[in-house]
Amino acid sequence: MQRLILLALLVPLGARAGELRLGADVGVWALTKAASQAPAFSPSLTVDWAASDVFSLGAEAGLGGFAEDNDTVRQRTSAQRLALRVDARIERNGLSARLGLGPGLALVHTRVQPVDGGDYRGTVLRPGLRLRSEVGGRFSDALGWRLTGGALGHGAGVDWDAGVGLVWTLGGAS
Amino acid sequence: MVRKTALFLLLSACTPDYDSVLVYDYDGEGAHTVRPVQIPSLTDPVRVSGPLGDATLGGRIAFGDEGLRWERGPRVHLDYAVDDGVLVPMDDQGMVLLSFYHHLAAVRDDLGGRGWQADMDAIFPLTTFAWMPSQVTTDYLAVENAAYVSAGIHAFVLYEEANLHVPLTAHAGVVRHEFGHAWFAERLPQVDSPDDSDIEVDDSRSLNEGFADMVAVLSLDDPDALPIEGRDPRDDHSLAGVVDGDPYSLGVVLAGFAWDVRLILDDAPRTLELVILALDEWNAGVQAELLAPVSLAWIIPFYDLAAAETDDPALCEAFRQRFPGVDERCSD
Repeated sequence: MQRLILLALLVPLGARAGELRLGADVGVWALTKAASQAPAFSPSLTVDWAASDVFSLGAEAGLGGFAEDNDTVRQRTSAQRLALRVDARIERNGLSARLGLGPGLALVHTRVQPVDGGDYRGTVLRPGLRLRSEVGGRFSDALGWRLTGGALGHGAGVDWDAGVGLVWTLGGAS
Repeated sequence: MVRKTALFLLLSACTPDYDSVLVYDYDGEGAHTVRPVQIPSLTDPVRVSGPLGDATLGGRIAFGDEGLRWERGPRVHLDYAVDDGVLVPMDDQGMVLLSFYHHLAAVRDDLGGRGWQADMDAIFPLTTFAWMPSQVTTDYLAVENAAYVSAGIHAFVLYEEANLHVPLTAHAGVVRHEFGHAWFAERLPQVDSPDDSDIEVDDSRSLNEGFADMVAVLSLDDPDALPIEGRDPRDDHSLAGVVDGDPYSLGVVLAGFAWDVRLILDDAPRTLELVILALDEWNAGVQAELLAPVSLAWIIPFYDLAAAETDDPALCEAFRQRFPGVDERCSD
């Protein structure tokens, strides 16, 4: 079943089997708050598969969160980001660039603990559209680097992120 | 039918029921506790909106020779979850904005129930309460925290301040102080439009600031209501310490005397009534050229109103201590 789904995705792109890349990034994720944005340290992982010389399919997951405490209350907000993308890509002379778009989702959790007692929790889903870009290069055939920048637009606003990471390439030679 | 049911279920899943809202609630003596409260007038928590007005983000306020100019920002979109019937905002800014609305609703309901419903109907809804608008100032009124913007704009502007035990905009006393400015502008619209008034804005600013302090302190019946150093009405502020050009330095003296009267009458609600009556009499006296068009002249009708309530000599003693050199009342 999974192969059929993959083929259904690839055939319209004129795809052929290519490289599989695993990426790990660290950076900042500016999460949308009620009235501004909160920058959060954000590690993320990506998997993408080169469907052709000019397209790849990607999936990513990222984490973020921030704390807001004062004398009256402890409040913790954490979030996970999930997205699927189709990327346009180009690679020349060891440098590459990608620009991708796809559905995304942020799960945002909050925990509020007043110092005088009580414990309140909740989770909201923020489905939206994920846009991501990257530029990078290779240290070797298998190992490369990249700089990324992206945005997740959803009903509550736009989350921005930027990072730097390493990519490990398996197979393919596109 | 199936579609309608599915749509209903989807909408229900997106807007879970809640019966209370998690906010910074006031405990008195300057203390706050985060707890669930009911806010019936909060009709749209996502927009932090209701009959009091609605919240906006940013925007721009410019102070210039042509007066105040306001550019409204976009509306708030506040994410929240519901935990056991309690609306829990997803971040502290959400809780601050909801707390501001809660405190504003509380003072509106409180004063409306004390016979000032017509005033409340005139004040609300506000044009907006704006979170962190940018500002361009030329020569006066640099806003660093919460503020009321008069001159026909009729809005609150809210800024972050992290030096308190709760965020500034979530502080009940601060909200009531700013509300006091809106009430002042409502009762004295000609002061708010200086071109049509015998009273210069600068000459009424001390009374405006003092009045706002009185509203906060007397409506909560709490001398600890204002979390700002130097604004405790129990301190020995007197006319001897007033600094020219600083409206707060005279404002605290006026508010201090109002607190003296509250202690003598042992009645905060009645004292607030006298404050309002004195404001009206001061305004009428200025228009009739019986009183000087300056903030300090407000103490004359206020003293007379208080003296009609009590023959306690402490009233005169308090007057002499607060206003040395003023011989219109209580002179030997």
